[in-house]
Amino acid sequence: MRKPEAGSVLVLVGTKKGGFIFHAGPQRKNWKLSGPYYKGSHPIYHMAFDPRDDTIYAALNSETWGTAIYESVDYGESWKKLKSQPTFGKKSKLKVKNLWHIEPGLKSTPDRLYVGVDPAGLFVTEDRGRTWEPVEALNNHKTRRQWSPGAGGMCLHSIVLDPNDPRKMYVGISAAGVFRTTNDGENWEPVNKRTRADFLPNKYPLVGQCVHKVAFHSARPNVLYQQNHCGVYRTDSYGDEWIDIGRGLPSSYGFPIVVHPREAETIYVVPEESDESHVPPNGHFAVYRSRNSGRTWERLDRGLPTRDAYLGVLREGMAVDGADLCGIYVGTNTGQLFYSVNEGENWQLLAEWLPPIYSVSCGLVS
Amino acid sequence: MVRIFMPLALSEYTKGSSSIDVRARSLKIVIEELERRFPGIRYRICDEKGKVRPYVNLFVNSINVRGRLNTKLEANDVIHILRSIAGG
Repeated sequence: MRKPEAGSVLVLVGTKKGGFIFHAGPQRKNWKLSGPYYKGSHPIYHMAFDPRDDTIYAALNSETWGTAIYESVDYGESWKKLKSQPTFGKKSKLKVKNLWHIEPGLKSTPDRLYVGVDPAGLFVTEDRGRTWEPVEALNNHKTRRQWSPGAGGMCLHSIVLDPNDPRKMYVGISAAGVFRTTNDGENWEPVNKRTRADFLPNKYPLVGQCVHKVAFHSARPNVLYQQNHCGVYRTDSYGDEWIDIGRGLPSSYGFPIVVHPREAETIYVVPEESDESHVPPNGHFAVYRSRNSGRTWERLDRGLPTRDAYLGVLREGMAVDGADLCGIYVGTNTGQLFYSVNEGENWQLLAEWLPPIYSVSCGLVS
Repeated sequence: MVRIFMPLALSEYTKGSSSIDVRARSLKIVIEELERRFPGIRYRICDEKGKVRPYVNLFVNSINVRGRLNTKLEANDVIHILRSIAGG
């Protein structure tokens, strides 16, 4: 597509059968679709918008041809495969099975990108994908033997950078837990205290927790949120200890969690019935919002299917835009893309017949 | 010289060429030569340990050699790189 006007919203949708980009002006009316990109047998687990220069990245996972990261510097008009791809290398016993998450670096590291993969691994490039390095201190962490795969594989799916302290970052691995570094990846410590692992004999282990997604707001860098297999949690202490904030939700099971772009205490989750039943509780599809860091929750379902709705939202399936009145986008594993342009009060369909949606992410055109 | 017929999915590497001629006495050298000419293509055909990906089939003169890269080649051999059929 031609460059949209400044302030336009891009919604990047990775699906089981390729990628799609929806875009609209700042008012978020008259949506236009471009794509599909790499349609067919190219599952895209994640697409990322890089606010440093508006580059779009896509993580392709082909069962036949393997993994590949592509980039577009013209809003999806053309795509180019990165010069090299993250691999564990011949010395490691591990090999990359799927790419799960691409995270652009901070402004202070203009050519840095991170990617999280299955089997759990973190890779970094300092030259926009010409070369990649495995983050060995994490990938070979002394607790790795205690990590185990969840239903989606053993994936590193959450990468949280702290712009207040560029040497600090967090990752979430299923099922290993949350890990933190305070020295730019040289050392990593598990930070899972008081998060449960109901599926293990020891319910509060050092590692092994099945964190589904980690969220963060730079205005309160001591606070992180996580949707876990076994609850919804908040930490007020950089991960040192977590507090269960699931009370008030119909179920504390779910996958995505996002933070409002300007209100650090406002978060959104999409509860599912249970880990054996990945559907909305009682067939009532709803997003839940807390405006006070998880102390109380409210159901947001105006415009969503509230009867006989047996769909699900995967961990990368919800995103917020940075527009003045926050927009929220939720993609389902049955191919519907819902959105709200008033912070979740009202919802409507943006697309109805997409392939199963694996990821939703947003960008604002500079 | 052997001739390699490339799958459409890899045409972005070969700039649209559907067949490539190379001098090679084994499939291993074919892959090396393809990588030399089209950087990155090896990782599509083989995984990072160098094994042919499980859903990629290499045929030499219409015989599926099941990913055996040490398969010897002779002049005028014809190689097809194809993806496995899948459905359901």
